[in-house]
Amino acid sequence: MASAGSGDEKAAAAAMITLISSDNEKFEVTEATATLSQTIRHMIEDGCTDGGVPLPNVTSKILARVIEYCKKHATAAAGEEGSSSSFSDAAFLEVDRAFLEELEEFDDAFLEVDRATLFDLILAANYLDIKGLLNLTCQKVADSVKGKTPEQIREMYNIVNDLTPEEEAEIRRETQWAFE
Amino acid sequence: MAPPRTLPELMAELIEEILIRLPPDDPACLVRASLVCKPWCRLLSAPSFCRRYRAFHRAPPLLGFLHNNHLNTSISYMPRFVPTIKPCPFPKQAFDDCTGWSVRDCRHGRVLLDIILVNVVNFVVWDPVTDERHRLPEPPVRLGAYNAAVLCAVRGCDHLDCRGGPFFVVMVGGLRYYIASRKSSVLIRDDVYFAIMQRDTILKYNLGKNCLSTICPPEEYKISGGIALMPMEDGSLGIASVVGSKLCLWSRNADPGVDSGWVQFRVIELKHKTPIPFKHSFCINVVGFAEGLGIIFVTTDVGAFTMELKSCQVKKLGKRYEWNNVYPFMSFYTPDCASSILPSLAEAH
Repeated sequence: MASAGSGDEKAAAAAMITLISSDNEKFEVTEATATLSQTIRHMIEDGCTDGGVPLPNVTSKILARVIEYCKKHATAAAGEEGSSSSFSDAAFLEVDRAFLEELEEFDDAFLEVDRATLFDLILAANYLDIKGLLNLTCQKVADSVKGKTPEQIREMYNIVNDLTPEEEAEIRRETQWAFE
Repeated sequence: MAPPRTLPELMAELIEEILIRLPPDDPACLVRASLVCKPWCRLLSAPSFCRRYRAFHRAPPLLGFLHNNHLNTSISYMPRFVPTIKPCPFPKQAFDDCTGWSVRDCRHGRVLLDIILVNVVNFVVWDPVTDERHRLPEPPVRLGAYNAAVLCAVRGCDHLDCRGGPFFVVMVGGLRYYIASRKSSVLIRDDVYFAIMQRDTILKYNLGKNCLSTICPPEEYKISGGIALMPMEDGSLGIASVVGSKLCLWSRNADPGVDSGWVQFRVIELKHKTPIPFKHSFCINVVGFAEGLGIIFVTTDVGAFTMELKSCQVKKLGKRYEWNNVYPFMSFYTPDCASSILPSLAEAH
């Protein structure tokens, strides 16, 4: 934890939240970063974050990635608020556009993970209720399903086909256009 | 190394979060996914999922468009459905027995067609998703001198899935104007707008008050015509048209107190043959508009194109350029539409 010091430092320390992963690792983040999670936002509002927020469903490896995402997007949210008053200024719009592009690049790079990590991120985003991260990660999986046959999807995600051959044949007959 | 992970390990609600993000303009994707396993099949054809899916994606996607194909051998037309997606669930041969029919309007998942037989006009409303045709009673109009629109009749409807419900057909005709223009109408709240001949005078019909009024197009078009109507995002009436090599977009001042009221809000120069290619600028025409999607249809002597007004993104539809009017068809096509077996399988568990 930050030590007590000048008034400014105290204010900064007051706005820090400690998150504790399932394997007991502690992460200190700003309130702005932490409140991208609705789950944590509610805990802060209820005043139950003293002594840290235990997150028994999230490992340190995944929590570190989630925090990386939240930090970047909390800065983006702050930037939007800051520039909204001067929306008519072309220079600000230009800055906004550049920032949005950078954010998109960050998101693309952020998703360059193996499938197991991607699923863990989905579970964490759902548990922590971080809408942007849930959308990003679920869209990535949805994109991987696009253009694939049922067989390919089953193989990709180890899904057992429990439709009877008769059921499958009948559905295929009715929806033949979808396989052309 | 992390142990291998499988999708079924994710909770059912998270599978739903993933599958709801499959793109609505590729309905085959949802259908193929429903053949993966029983739980997916159940989920994807459940009414609750289909409802959530439509609400999530908000605007029904463009699946294709209709146009009236002129038959070389006669003066008759035959309607055609041209898919803009691939694969497309609709059969291309849907109108093979429909010589003499022509498309008049298309909205809220319904297509309005007329059949002219000697001195009688008959209207048919067609649902491309179910392929149901609904023949309407003979209307009291003079042959040729009318224009017509079709729209959902349910007040407050979000039009995401109202295809099977009650509908209105609005006909205007028998006025001193010659109203036989085949340009598709535009619906904005309670008002249906038609561009009528001559010179593209705009006719406005208010559904609630059952009254008609006229609006003059901007000065530029009073002589030459050539406008396509479109609804603007702010609820005002818009116009897209071509002047020289410029694509001009206008919107009507929504304030009824303001007189002339047309504001040219955007000009897209096509001179350099981008984003839309052409050989002769007089051959560029705006021939349709997809309501709710901000997509215009443009034909030139090189081919037919769609253009997204926001992004200026252009897609080539084909080499055909004889389409004078196109009627875009927008609808959701969820697995429950695709198969009679899928929903019953879903219910059986």
